[in-house]
Amino acid sequence: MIPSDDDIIRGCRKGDRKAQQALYERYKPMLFGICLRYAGGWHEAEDWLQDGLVRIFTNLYQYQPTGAFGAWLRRVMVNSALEQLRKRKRAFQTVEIGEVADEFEADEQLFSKYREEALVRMLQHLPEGYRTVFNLYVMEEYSHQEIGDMLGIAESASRSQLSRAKAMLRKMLEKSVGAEV
Amino acid sequence: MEENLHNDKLERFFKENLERYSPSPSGDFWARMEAAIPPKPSNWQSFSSKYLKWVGLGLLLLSLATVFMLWRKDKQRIEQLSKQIAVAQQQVKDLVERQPSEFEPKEETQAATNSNSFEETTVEGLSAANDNSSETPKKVQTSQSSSTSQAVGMGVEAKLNPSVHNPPIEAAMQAVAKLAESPLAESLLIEKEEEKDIAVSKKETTQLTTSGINSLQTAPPTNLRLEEVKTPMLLPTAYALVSSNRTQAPAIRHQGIRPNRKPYPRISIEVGTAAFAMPLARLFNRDTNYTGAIRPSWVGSFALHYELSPSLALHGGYEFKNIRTSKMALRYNSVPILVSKKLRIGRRMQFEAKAGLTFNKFFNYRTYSDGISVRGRKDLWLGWQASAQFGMPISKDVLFLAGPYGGSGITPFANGKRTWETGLAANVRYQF
Repeated sequence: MIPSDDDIIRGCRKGDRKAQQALYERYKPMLFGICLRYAGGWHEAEDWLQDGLVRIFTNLYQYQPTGAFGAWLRRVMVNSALEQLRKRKRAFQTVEIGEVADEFEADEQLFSKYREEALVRMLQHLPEGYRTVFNLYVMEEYSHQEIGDMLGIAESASRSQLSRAKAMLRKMLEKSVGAEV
Repeated sequence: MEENLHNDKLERFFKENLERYSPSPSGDFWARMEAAIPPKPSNWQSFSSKYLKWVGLGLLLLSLATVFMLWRKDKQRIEQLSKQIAVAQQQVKDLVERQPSEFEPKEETQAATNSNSFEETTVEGLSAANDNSSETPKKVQTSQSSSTSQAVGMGVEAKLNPSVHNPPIEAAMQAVAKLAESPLAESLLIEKEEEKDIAVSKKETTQLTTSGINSLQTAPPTNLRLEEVKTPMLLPTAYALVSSNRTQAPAIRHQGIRPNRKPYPRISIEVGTAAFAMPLARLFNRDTNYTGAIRPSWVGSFALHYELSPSLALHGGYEFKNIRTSKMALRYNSVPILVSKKLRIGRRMQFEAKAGLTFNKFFNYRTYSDGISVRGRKDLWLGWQASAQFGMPISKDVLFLAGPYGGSGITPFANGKRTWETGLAANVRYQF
């Protein structure tokens, strides 16, 4: 029998290992996908997933079933990823668009067969700040003001980082597809 | 404008493709994960997170209700006793205002008095009462005591000579005895005295009861009043009729807490706490998604209260405010500068209305569900605050104040919005 989200939540709150594993199995594609988008590579994404899951299991007793459980998990995982980025204390430095695009090695075959993986690779190739702003704005649909609040940067900085991120991605896509995007 | 930006073609392309992407971590991930999972949170942690704030709020309300009930009960007692005292005072007044001729003893009684009718005067039971082990009343006994007029409940059993039977005096003594019998009066009148006081009062009681009655028998009093006589502990207060040339003693000692009577201007310090609510949603553009529903928050405060006159004071201090919503928590520092107007209600209670400006600054944003700080926001704003508080002394120098308060921003936040807050505060004020 497949346990419901409520069963999983109840079990996890009691510290039941089976319920925790069930939560992991059910939501790992979404959670790991988030980590891959924010992290710089596979191994780093796994480390972040581990930290995020620990945070989820620790704070699950605070979850109140007013909203979707999946949305709550997603928010916790994004916040966990942001915290990891903050720990590094790397500045949101400005990088030349052409420089990044030139370094990117396009693989047309990968793009045609495994488009999603290729797109994640492109994202991971972006400078950290650009990648974070792009993810928060495009994937999480936060406004620039909220992104500014979350990252401690000005709203205008968030706008310019997004614009540069998109320009870089466009160039990388052009290289991969071989046509103007 | 913002909405349109989310519809960019490139953005849509990435969003659609990446949302379909469902990668899996390596096969041994869960084995590594299990080792890193901390033990389950304790029941107490779970309970405290859910219910502690409500328990705190309940206790605050309970304490306010208790203070109110005690105040009401006390007020009723004081009113009841005041009525009884007024009746007794009226009776004494009537007695005093009667013509001196009424007090003149009849011929046969005069003779008896002149022949030194009080042959034997004994005071018994005082020693027993003094060690608090006996309730034996004091006795003032005369040698020819065939009938008695007793002032029961006063601790005095005065057996008078039938020949000097004096109805007005008896009536007064009975009235006082009745008043003294009342348990309410007892609680107000009986005070614990020091050993020294007990010794003095014992002596005084003997003198007053015997000499007072003697003087009444021998000479018609021209000006009488009822005066409290100190008695040993656990004995009801005794009264004696004495002439007015003695120093006036307090009729009844007030046992209630009187507020401090130090001269103005004077300074008090105040510490307190409050439960309040503030909609953080006003801080953000996509408000409720980000902050969630309003939750009870708390304040810790410290203030100096500079009293210029009995009714006017300046109030300034520091408040640490911890604000909570379902998804977020943050703190802000507040410096209120308020003007306070005080009104006295009854003998002990007071009402205080405060209003003024607050200087506020947010710090340490933190999302609640996962404990992540949201830094970078530096909002500094000016606001107003007003409160209405009821005060009650809990000792001579300490006042307990409780009541609602509210306020809002005058200058807007960085996003152009203003927020408001309202709550219930409880403070303790110590007067130097």
